[in-house]
Amino acid sequence: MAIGRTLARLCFAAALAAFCFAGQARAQGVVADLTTHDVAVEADFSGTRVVLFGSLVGAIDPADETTSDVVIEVIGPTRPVQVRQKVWRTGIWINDGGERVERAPGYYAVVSNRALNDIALPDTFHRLGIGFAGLKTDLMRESLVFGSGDAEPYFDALLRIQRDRGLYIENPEGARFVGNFLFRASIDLGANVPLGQYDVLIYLFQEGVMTGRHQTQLLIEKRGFERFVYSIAYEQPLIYGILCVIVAGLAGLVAAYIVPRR
Amino acid sequence: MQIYLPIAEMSVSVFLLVGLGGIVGILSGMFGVGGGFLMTPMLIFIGIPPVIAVATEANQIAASSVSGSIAQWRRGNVDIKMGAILLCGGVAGSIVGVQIVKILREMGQVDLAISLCYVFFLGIVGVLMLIESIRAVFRTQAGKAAPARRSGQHNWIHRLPFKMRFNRSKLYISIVPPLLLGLLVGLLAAIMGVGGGFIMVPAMIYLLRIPTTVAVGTSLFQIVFVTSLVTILHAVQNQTVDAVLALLLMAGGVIGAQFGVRLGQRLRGEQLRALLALLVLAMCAKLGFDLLVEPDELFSVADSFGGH
Repeated sequence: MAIGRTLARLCFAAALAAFCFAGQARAQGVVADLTTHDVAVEADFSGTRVVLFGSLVGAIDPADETTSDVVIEVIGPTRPVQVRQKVWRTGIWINDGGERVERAPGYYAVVSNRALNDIALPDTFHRLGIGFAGLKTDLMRESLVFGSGDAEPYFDALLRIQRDRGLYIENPEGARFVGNFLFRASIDLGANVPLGQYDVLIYLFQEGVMTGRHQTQLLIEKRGFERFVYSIAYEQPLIYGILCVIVAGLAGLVAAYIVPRR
Repeated sequence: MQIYLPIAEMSVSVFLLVGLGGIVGILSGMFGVGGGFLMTPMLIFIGIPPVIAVATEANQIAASSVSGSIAQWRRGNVDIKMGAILLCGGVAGSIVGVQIVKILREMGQVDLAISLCYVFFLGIVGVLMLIESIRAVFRTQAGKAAPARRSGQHNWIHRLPFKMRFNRSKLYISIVPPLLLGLLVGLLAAIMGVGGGFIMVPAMIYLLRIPTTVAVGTSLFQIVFVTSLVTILHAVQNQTVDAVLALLLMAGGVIGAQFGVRLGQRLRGEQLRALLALLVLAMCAKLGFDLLVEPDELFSVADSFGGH
């Protein structure tokens, strides 16, 4: 046991040394953290803003004049969605069969300190899958097996609708450098954000090249009465339904007996 | 003050919801209607997804019909035997109706189906109410009394088999029409989130020739059970009952109904009925307009249900 533990410590030390060495070999890296990793959705939840602080790390030369940019990508839990188009049939507007997207993020935000086009070539972001264009490519790749060539308007619509709902966000002013090395960014989460585990990816770009990447996580979950209602509704639907009826019955009794009659 | 609705997954003003519950409560107290066919479209108008509006409204009607039927019970207006027969049909209708909603939801056509049902029924009810109230206004001006209802006359319904005696309704009729009526109302409760009193009471009075007071009491009595069943079935099959939304609507409804009853006693009935008819027709027109006019956004995004 003791030997095993020592061995584990040695391995850890070696890994740490290797990490530090790699860190120095790289020009610069980036570290960041959120002010909170846990957003509670309670009865009064009407959206919130999570702030991210970060710093450039590694061999920092104060005289260095390279421009640094940060791009923060926040990806919410994925779920299958159906995008439908209304078509004019027999006098009214009816949904068509639509296009199914297997794994669409329920939330997607790209926050940067200036417009992505000024930070690097569009192709760079496209390759990394950052930004709406990259997201669209990813989404289409997910569904091309089922979809056809005419599917593109559906994906444009998905991006457009989610953006209007505040679920897909491109904010080129959401991040700001404080001095040369520190930066802060704010991530807006509306009242309609999906619940679950969010990936937060922080990219450092220097002179149009990605030179650092850091990843952290954010959990959005329901709490209190909201959580109780939600979890019982999905996990014990029969009990939930019966409870709703009992509450209705009690409310009816209150109305009949307690509230004064005319 | 905003409140987060856990099932609808949206944040809505508490005052708006309690206010809506209150206004519909006032209207239902004034006119003695259940209010489901007013509330569900209103919920849809403020952005609650139609399936959630329907299932949650069924839950609220369960509450309002409990208090209503207690009052009717005290006055001896409930024909339990008739109610039980209606309920048998209602159970079958709600099971089928909830299943239809589930299938339509997977096909992405449930919003359309709910809207179409509302346009159809609001249109019919609104026009009938308007005609009736205009006639009533002219009658009162002409100083004539309302024509007495023909009673004791036999129609085709009395020739149907499986006859049964209903003491409180003072009837000896076939159980087929009440079963079918219950079935229809169960379907409507599941698909439209209504109690169905606006169809059931006239059908009981004019088709089955049940005395008006007994028709109203018995209809309310069976609505308690049908809407309770619809609530449970929607909760199990579709997970669309929002308890927080239902509670707020109930709170508003209880308060509103008290005011409504008092207001209804003070104000003139015919003009009010005409106003209610106009309101119903306005909602019908709005829902119909939305189906006919090319929407600004042709596309819609919905969570996908079930497998491939």
